[in-house]
Amino acid sequence: MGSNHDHDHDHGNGHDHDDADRPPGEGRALRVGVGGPVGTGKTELVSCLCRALAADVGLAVVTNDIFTTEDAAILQRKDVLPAERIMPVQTGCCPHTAIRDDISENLDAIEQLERRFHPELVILESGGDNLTAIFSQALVDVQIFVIDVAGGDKVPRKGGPGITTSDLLVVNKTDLAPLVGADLEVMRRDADAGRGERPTLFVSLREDPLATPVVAWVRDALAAHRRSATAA
Amino acid sequence: MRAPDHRVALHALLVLADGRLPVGGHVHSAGVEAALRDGRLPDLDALADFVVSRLHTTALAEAAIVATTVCHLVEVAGPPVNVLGMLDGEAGARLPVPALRAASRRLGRQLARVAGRCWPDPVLGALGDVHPDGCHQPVALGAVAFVVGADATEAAMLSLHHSAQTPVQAALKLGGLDPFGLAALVAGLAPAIAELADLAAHYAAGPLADLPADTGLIVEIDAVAHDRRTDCLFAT
Ligand SMILES: Nc1nc2c(ncn2[C@@H]2O[C@H](COP(=O)(O)OP(=O)(O)OP(=O)(O)O)[C@@H](O)[C@H]2O)c(=O)[nH]1
Ligand SMILES: [Mg+2]
Repeated sequence: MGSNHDHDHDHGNGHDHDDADRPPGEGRALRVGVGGPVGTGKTELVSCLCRALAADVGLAVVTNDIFTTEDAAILQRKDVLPAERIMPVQTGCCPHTAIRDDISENLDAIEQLERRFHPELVILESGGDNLTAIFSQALVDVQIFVIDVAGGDKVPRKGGPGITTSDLLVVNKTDLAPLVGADLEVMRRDADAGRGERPTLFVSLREDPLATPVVAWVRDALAAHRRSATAA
Repeated sequence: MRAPDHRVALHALLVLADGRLPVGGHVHSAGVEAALRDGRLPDLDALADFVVSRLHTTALAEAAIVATTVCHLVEVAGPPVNVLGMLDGEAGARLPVPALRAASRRLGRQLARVAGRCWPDPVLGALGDVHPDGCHQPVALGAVAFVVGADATEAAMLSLHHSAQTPVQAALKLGGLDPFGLAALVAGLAPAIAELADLAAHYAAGPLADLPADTGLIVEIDAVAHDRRTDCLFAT
């Protein structure tokens, strides 16, 4: 718990406890989950999003790392967001439990960030996990699943709820395709077959550090969230 | 509202005893992560010693608060927040390590969150008014046990069961210990847990000042060091 310096008073007001329990679209921040296997570029993507959006969107980030602060430390080093807006949570050897089965710690982290900064967008990075790990609907409004080309072009075919049901599938590291002999067309075909209408974006965050298409997708999600908030 | 049929209370206790209930417990190791790192839990026997000593010290102190909370809520006539606040003070006084105190409030708050959805009751609402960071976990657990209609001994057993399972499940994940051996370890604790639950209920009938305050010194020192590290898998 070394990272939670203010844990003797990590809560502002007892009556606000249910803030993060509120259903989506009731005036609270849009919550975007970023999940996917180890090393596929989740932290890289989160820092791209922060870099692209921080100027005009109130932002906060929750990281769920295997070892508490690794991802948070990377984001802090990259200096994409003030350090106090990045909060790591522990996951007790089970990153998928923390985002799906028992989301208590993540809800707590979101509550704290919402209370302190009133962000418009909260990004949650899950710990690198397996293809079955998805975020609970009670934790995020939309989720992005990140896989990479380096894992081989079989990955979209393997499927799993992250690949088939995420709101956006990002296939990262297209620059590595020739090096690992991955066929992007096969990946495209298999992803589309498993995902139906849901979008898939191919990117190389190395070559496009602004993650242009993903940022555009998140901006659209944010606009939809704002509309549903004013309609509610 | 107390459940009229004890089978209903029993079902609620099963739900509460189930590790699948989302109460935030899976990120706590009860000192096992630190002890393993230190080489003090090489095998199942060492873990069994660790768990048994935990049961007789901090776990008994917590179970006594849980049982006392049930007893006091049974008797209280007015709004429960005063009695909950008083017991919250007793719980905090038995947690000298700031990191463990914070974790206890956090777990109490997380339990209140899920219990409030499962068994809506003004007593659970009052938990949120005790302290801005949440009520200490044993008080919250006692309040939930009261709401579902459990008695003091049953509530203490529930608390002791979690006190045993938390380190055992962490050891399973961190040390790769034999899951069947671990299951047998927990099952074999039945006589100890039954006896300690009776003891907790006994304390609950006495004055608050006499509630046990036993702790594990090494575990507490470990908890301070654990809290300062940045490479931990578990929060405590
Ligand atoms: N070649 C190449 N490398 C990339 C690309 N995107 C990210 N990387 C590298 O891939 C490695 C892992 O990236 P991270 O962003 O840390 O991956 P992650 O998914 O957050 O990893 P975990 O949190 O450990 O699961 C880093 O060394 C990145 O620099 C890319 O588009 N191309
Ligand atoms: Mg990462």
